[in-house]
Amino acid sequence: MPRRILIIDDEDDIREVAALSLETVAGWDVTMAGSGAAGIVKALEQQPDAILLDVMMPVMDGPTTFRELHALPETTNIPVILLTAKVQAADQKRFSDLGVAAVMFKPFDPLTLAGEIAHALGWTDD
Amino acid sequence: MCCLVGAVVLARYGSSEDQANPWIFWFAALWTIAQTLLITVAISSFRSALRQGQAERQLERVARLHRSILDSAGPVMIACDLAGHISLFNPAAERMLGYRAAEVLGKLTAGDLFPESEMVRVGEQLAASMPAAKPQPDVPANTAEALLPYIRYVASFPASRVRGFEMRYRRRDGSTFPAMVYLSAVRSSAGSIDGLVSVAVDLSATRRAEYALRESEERYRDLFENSAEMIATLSPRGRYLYVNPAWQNLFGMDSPQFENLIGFESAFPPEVQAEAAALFHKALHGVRVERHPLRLQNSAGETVEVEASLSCRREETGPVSVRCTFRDVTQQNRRERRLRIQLVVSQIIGETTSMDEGLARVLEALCGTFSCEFAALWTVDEQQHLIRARVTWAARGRSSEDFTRETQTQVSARGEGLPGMVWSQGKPCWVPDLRQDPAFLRRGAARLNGFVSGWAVPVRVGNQVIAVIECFSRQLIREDPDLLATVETVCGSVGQFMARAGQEARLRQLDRQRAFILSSVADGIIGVDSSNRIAFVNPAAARLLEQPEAELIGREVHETLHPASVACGTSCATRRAFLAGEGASGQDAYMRESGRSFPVEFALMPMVEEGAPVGSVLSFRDISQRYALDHMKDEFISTVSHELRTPLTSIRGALGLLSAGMLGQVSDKASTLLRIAVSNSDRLVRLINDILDLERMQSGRAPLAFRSIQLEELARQAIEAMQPMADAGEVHLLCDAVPAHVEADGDRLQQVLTNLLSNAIKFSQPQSIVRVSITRSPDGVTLSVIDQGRGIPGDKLETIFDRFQQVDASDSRQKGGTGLGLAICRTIVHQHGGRIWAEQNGNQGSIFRVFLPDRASLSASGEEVAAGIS
Repeated sequence: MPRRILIIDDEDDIREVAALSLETVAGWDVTMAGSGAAGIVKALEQQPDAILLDVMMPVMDGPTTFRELHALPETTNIPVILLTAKVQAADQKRFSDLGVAAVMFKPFDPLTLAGEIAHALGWTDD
Repeated sequence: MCCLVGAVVLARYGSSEDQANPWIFWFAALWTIAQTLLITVAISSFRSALRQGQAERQLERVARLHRSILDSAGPVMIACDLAGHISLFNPAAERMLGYRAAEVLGKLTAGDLFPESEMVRVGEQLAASMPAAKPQPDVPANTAEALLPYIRYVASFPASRVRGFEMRYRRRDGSTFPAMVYLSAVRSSAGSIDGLVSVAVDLSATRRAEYALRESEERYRDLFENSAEMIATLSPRGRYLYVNPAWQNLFGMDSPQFENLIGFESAFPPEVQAEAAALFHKALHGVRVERHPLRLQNSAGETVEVEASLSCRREETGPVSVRCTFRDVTQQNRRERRLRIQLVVSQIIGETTSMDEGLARVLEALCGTFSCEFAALWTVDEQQHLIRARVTWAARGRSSEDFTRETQTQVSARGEGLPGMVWSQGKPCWVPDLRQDPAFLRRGAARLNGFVSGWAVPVRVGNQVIAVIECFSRQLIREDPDLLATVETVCGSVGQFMARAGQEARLRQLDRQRAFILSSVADGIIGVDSSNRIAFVNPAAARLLEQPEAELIGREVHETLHPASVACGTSCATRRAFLAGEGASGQDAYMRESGRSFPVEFALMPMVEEGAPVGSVLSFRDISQRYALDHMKDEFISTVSHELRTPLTSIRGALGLLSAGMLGQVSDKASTLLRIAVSNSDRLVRLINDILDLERMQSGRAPLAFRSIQLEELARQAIEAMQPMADAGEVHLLCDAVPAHVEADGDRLQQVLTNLLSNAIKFSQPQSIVRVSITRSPDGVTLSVIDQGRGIPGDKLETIFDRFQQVDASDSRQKGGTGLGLAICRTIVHQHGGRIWAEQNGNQGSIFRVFLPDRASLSASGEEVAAGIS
């Protein structure tokens, strides 16, 4: 049974590349959402194994979305990895303080992304 | 009638002169009675007989009388005949001349009783004293030659008019004595002269008394004549009776000139005549004048000050004479005046702080001392080459308005007018008559206000004339060099005073400037005393803290900036700065009165006087705006980095997948191109990362997180991280490290090490060695990265640490570097208070060394460096 990953990002291109990377490199089952709200709906519906969550999104940004997911009993246990193009120390600190499983930076290497996620989440069998 | 007269005569005779002879008395009485009774009887028969008897008895009586007179008389009485033979020699003569009468009478002649030639000398004198016109009286032929002038002298005058004359007698022992000689003739019954009688009175005693008197007079006269005091005696009507030479000298007149004066005061100069007359009048009316001061010009034109004492000698009939004594006290007064004015001036300048007030008082003192009514001090303006009056002083009373106004408005060039002249010549100047002196520009005003004489003296500091003091009098004063010398001395003190006051004024001006600067700066400045209480607050500080300056004074500084409500704790930068007692700076947040805090950047500077701390100065700047700007910049960078990375993420991801062949096989050429695209998009990402890193660090917005680190451990981690890259380049990484403990930000230091290793590997040939070594020194740790690569030219050892400075411009393309790595390293090392530098490794390769000082030796300075970079 392949891992099911939900990618929430407002950038279509990045969603495509990331999905392609995870599907082709790791063979995971990837679903996508273009906004925080849509992401929460998908998460509730599909109960993915992990969520790759973009930080900078209009209307509902990554941290807000995370707090929503964390607040919902149905999704509170789904590990969330923040994917951010912000690399400033203050931001990093702020993000890790949220209680996410990991923070990963854009741009990512499509060949190693799946491995890094598996490593961060302790998925040793992947 | 006749008998009555006889009775009276006899009665008188008997009663007054001859009481011892009652017989004569009774005889006369009886005779008178008888005559009265027998008026007519036998008058004619007895008259002649009775008269005859009376005459005989009278003669007898007279002869006895003469004898007794001669015997008892004090004067010497000597008679001689015409031949000079002595016929009478009375006992007084015996006593005086030492002869006995028996030795003289009939044996000696008159000439024997006088010293040789004395008779001739006196004879000639007598002859000379006789009226020449008178016919020579007849002299008996048998007269001795020596007696001739005497006989003639006696014969020339009636007995009543013969004068006595002085003559010296010679005693038997040869000694002589002076005598006053009265000479009379002895006449025969026929009336012809047949001898001379001399009556002589010894003058020895008189002469001695006279001599003594004369000597005494001489002595007193000598005293008066040689006295330095001026002495005059005047009649009650004011005529000069006696003036001593000193008096004559004072007025430049001789005795006869004084005798011709009609009054005491006439000798005096016009300006003192009234005063002199008053003194004389006072003395004449019995008031003793004691040491009354008078000022007058002597005959040489010098001012003389005297003390006049006058007293009147009186007898019962009234005043007899007025004695007047002047004592010259000019020198004494000058000395006293010089001392007094110097004392007064030094007092004035010692107790005055305001220069103008002090100078006005000095002018007043000078006027008071030297009898002047107006004074001015002119100051030299060196820049404008002008001199102008700064302070004037005028005595009350008569108006000095015109002169004051003209003095205050006049501005003179060097050499112009009295002050200008004194300025240019640098020496005092005396103007005896201001009204006539063409060089004195204010003569019109002087005439209007009655000023007559004046003088001016330069005020110097060193050799430079900085001012001129002038004084004016309504009296004619002749030049007085001594006065000028005194004033010059005073001017020396005035010069020092002005210099000092000038310095004080400059200091006050500096103070005002400083106060102005302090009040106009935007930074808050707080002066704090040694007990950390606020002693000074500038307006900016008061404004920033939203409190009036006065309310801040005296408050504890830290409690003011961080009230109790702010729990600043031990990490409080401001508190630590104050506790350290050293200069410090940093950032903090201070509290306004309203309770809102604002970010500040502060600097604390201790004030040390003579090695002891006396307080400190805290300056702080509201950096709210800078914070806002920084925030905006952060936002911008954050956005830029996000916006740049987002497309890069897609590009890099897509290229990566394609290049890896995950989406199907691509041709070799396409694969090469894809690899180039991947590598360059990686480089672009690194470049963006490095730029952001550097910007963040240099802006101070990436503060270091110091903690205890084992440096050798850090080195091993770095080597481990770089091992894949080294393996790819076939470069051997070695670690040669001793255990070294440092206080540092591990992540940042890791970044430095990684960077240096990355560079070393990049520029090393395959199979060469890159070695990391760590050595300890007393004050820190040195980390070295040593390679055997192509090395660095000597002129590039420094510049390679600058941004985008590489040894070879093509390196960034060939080696994939960004050109920012070493700049980042240097920034990080500096943030640690350390140093980084490059050396050449012999003839092959290079060495990069990082020195990290022990934190203990850094303490505050590390923060300074950190703050300094921002």
